[in-house]
Amino acid sequence: MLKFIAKRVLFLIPIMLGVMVIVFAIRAITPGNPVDSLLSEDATEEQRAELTAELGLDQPLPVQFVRYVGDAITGDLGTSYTTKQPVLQELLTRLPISLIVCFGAVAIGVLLGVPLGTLSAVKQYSWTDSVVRILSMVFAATPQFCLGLVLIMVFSVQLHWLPSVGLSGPASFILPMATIGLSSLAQYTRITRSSMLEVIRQDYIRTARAKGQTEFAITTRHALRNAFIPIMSQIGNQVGHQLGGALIVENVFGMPGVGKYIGDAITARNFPAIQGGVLMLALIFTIVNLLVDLSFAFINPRLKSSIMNSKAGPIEKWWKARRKKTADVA
Amino acid sequence: MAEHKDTPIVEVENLTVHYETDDGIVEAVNNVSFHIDKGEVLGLVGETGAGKTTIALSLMKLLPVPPSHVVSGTVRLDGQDVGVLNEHHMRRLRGSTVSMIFQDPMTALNPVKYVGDQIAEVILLHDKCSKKDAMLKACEMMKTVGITPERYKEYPHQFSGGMKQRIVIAIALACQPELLIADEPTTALDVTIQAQVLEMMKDLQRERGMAMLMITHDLGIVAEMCDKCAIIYAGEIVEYGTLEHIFDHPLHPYTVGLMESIPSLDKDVERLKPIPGLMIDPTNLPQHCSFCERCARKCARCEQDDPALVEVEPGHWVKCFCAGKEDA
Repeated sequence: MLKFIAKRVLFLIPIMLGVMVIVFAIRAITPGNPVDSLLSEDATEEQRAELTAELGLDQPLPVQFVRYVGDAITGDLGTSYTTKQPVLQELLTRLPISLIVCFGAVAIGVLLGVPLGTLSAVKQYSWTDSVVRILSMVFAATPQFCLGLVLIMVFSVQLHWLPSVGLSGPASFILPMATIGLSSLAQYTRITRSSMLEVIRQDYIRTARAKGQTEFAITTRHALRNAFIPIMSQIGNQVGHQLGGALIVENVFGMPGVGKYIGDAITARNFPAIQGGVLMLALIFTIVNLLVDLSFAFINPRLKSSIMNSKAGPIEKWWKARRKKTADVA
Repeated sequence: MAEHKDTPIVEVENLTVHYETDDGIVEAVNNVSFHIDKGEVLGLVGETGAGKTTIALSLMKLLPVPPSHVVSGTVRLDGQDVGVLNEHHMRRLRGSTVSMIFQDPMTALNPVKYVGDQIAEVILLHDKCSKKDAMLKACEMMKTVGITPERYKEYPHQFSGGMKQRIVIAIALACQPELLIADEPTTALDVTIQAQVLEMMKDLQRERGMAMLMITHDLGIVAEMCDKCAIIYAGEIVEYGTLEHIFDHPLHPYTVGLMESIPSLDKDVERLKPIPGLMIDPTNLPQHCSFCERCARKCARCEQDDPALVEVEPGHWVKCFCAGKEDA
């Protein structure tokens, strides 16, 4: 198992390098010089040249890239053009907000979507099924900003239950979470429904019925766990979408999260902030998907044993040989 | 054996089951009646699509409700009419009074649960006992079917097909059912494993004196295991009797055809002798005898009327106009 985890963690390296190439290319390809956005229009040529050298922009692109990667690995994501603060620090203060909203939204989506999807599958073609499907499609078809505004209208303006904008305590998180969670609801209900429909037609469900098991236990204990693999993959994908796509929702609710940070950086041509933000999101996305992959091993024992019995690759062979050698010496 | 006058464990009377599909009504089971006494083994023989599994599932009231539809007839399990029992009562019968072994052991076990727990589950449902006792009983059952209890915490994919079928059998027998329905229990296994599994089932059946409904298309299994045999064609019983009746003097042309299609070891024949033609379309059953299109001995009457199942000698029933007339 450890071997498998190590292998998957090593896999992150080429993925992150790939992301860095793209992120770096954003700046290299985009027309316009960051120097122009940093200095006022009446700056002298000397000042310009000085700043260009300071930012390393006079170097050839490959050199710039290598320097960028080196800095990123050591945790230096550059300095924000607008605030003159280290980008990493700025991101880290905003990240928890985005993560809370994102995982809260996933929790809402899963906790509502999986039971509703299951209900929909068990009562296929009934009116319950139709209501669930229509409801989740309505949420999916409504743009997030629109859904967010409706929720503000109802829960903040009319009912005065929850704050509408800004960050003023835990209650402020509820509406953004609900907005993203509800708009992703359809994804979870649909995938749960189709996965469950497949599972409840399996022979082992009939075996469970032949044992005299109740329908509730059959659905929850026998079927749901088998249906969960596609649902887990969906969770992995959703986390990625929601982290990146939180931009609009964070703007609607005035949440100072990573999405809003990147959005502001784009308008200000603040390249280090854009690059740093994208890199951070990519890293989180890959880590979440790694966790999702690992969870498969616990959901599906067949995968677990194939992971356990997977053949040793060259690195593991080398590592084993090394360990054996040190053991021999000792 | 049939002498003692207990209520039979199963009594099926005039059972008719249809499947209502978009392409029409499939008449899967038509007016089938039979009974199994306690401790008796009945073989149900027929080709694929003859309605064998439908009969088995209707005994347990496990037919998927749409599309299936029990048109008429009654099924009595241990004297209780299954048709009027509610789900709650049925659940109590399933797994304890009547249990079932399914055709394909590869898919009959839940892939994400320990095999031991799958046996313990049925014990926990029907015997009033603690979880620990249920696990101990499950281990006992594993021993009974010849699997070491050390493998309790293993998953179905770690077992071979024959071993999985042993687990399925252990699940079915865990609560000492009075009737075991075995739906082609060895069809998915290879021949050597088939023999082992059948041997084991036979021993367990004799040991526990339980009744059994053996569904198969293999007459060899019937000869080996059963007391009585019903031959089924297009959802109807065409011949019913003891093994001697069916094997030594079969009367229905279909039974005769089945017997002739068994390859013989001591005769050197070039080709097998099949029954000509294909199984009739169950969505479009004729008013007359459903076997007449494939029948070598049909007469004019066969193409007009549907024969009734008549008792030609004590305990031997045949559904054919011509049976016994030109029996050579």
